[in-house]
Amino acid sequence: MPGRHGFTPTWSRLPSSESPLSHHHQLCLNIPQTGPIAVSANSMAEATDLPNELLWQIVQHLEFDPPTLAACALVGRSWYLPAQVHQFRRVSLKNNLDCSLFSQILAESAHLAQLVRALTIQFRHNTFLILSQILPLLSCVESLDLQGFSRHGYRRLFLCWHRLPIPCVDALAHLFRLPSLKCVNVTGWCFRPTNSGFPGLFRHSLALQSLGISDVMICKHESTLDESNSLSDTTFKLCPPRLQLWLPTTNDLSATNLGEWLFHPECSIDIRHVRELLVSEGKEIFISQVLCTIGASLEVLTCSGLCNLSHNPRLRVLDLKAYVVNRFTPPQWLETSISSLPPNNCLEALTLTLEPGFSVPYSDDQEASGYLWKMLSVAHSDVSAEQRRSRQGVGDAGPLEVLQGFFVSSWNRSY
Amino acid sequence: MVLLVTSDNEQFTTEKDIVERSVLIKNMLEDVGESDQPIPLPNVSSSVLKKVLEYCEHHRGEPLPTADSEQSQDETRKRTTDISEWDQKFITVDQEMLFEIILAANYLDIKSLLDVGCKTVANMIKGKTPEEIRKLFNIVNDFTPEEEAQIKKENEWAEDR
Repeated sequence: MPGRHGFTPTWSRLPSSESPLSHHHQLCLNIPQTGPIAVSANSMAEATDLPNELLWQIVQHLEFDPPTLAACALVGRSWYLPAQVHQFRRVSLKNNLDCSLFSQILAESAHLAQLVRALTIQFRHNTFLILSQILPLLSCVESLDLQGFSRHGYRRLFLCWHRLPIPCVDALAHLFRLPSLKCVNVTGWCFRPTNSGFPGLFRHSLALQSLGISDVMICKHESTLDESNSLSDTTFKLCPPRLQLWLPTTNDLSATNLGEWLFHPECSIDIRHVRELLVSEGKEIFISQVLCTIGASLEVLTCSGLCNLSHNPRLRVLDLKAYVVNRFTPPQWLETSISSLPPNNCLEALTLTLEPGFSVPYSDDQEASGYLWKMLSVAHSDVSAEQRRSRQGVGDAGPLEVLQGFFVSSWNRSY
Repeated sequence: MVLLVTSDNEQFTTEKDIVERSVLIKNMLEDVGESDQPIPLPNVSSSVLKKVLEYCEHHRGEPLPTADSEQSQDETRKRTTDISEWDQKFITVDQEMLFEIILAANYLDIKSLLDVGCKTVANMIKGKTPEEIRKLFNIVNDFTPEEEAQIKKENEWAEDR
């Protein structure tokens, strides 16, 4: 759809990264030309001599510098598209002002809608209408972050999913149907225990790889009659391969509610096929219940609290995150969690990530690494030397080298 | 040892593990096998190849980026413009040489050198107005006034972000 002045870039495929220097003067102009492009006549290399793909590579380093990207877009035709691709890659609609401005921009330059890849929406009552107009214009969204909460002083108010107006739900349904959609995160929503409306949106998300759920509440006493819209499907079960759960320990109610929702027999999300799980904080009993339900499907786990891994024999990658204050003192839960792995487990990589509260002396690396060694032996206490060798494919290397291999490849102290 | 011949017919003899930082040359060497045949580099001049080899020699032995690491970099999109101290000193050259190095790194497929070059240009652009960028790189503004007005409207999105 052309803009008001008929200015719409044409979308051409970039030259491959193997392009030889023969592209030297082959400037790929993605915007219809109205005049000649300045190409240096002498043999000296100038910016205009750079192949278009190199210009893209240069501009991508400015992705987090919006003012410079805006300046780049105005330099010339060959600079326009690389700059706007990065300027509109991540769009955040957090209030009415954002929505109004973005809507106006799309009205003038409809082609920008195709550039949005990661979309964050904070729902407000005064943005429902405008969102229902903007969202159907977006056609290439890959990551969607839906935030339902709002702040009133120190209180966080959760938005009830079933209170979203139908046009807004329909607009969201458009996004969920996009074949490009790979990742959805929902935060601060209030669902019904048997809510079929929300997971019903996922029915057509065939490419979805990741579902993140944080801070949800359940309203148990309201009628479910108004959920009988076109998206409701009581037989549908969403089976995300990757699940991320964020459960603040300070909000017991939220954690309990999420647990009740996920484990409710009529819940439309089926976590039994999750292969990769990320749990931030959370109560031990809840994490254990999630791990037990997923069972043998689980291959990758990132966790920052006590977890019982006895039901996860196929776990390959375990990333445990510990909070360290001043000195490295391994919390008891680390060893308890690792030692709960069943015999003959499939563990291939163990990572211990320390998140220091204060500056931790560098010498603690030694202590921490020694601890990781001990943990590796705990994790592999029942694995024979032959099994270790076959996992790593290191031929005649003994178990000691194999473990060292693990250690080097997976040790990851982050500061 | 490997023999390289530049566009101005100058010959460079260098060690295999140095020059194999270039994926193009590495593949060529694999294709020809054990051979003393010189490798022609018709798109790289001697002055540029000298700089490229200096870079490769300094970074010899460092692990080459794998397809996985490149993909994860793309996924996280954590693009920064940080350049190590040695690389920064190495790339402090005039603008003509800088672009020649970028083009050579692209042709020879040396990802890390290409990144250093592109980051350096990105740093040169940072904080500049469109007119300053045009002047810096000798670019002519080929937008019509209407198109420019439309892009300025689009750029309102970048304000206060």
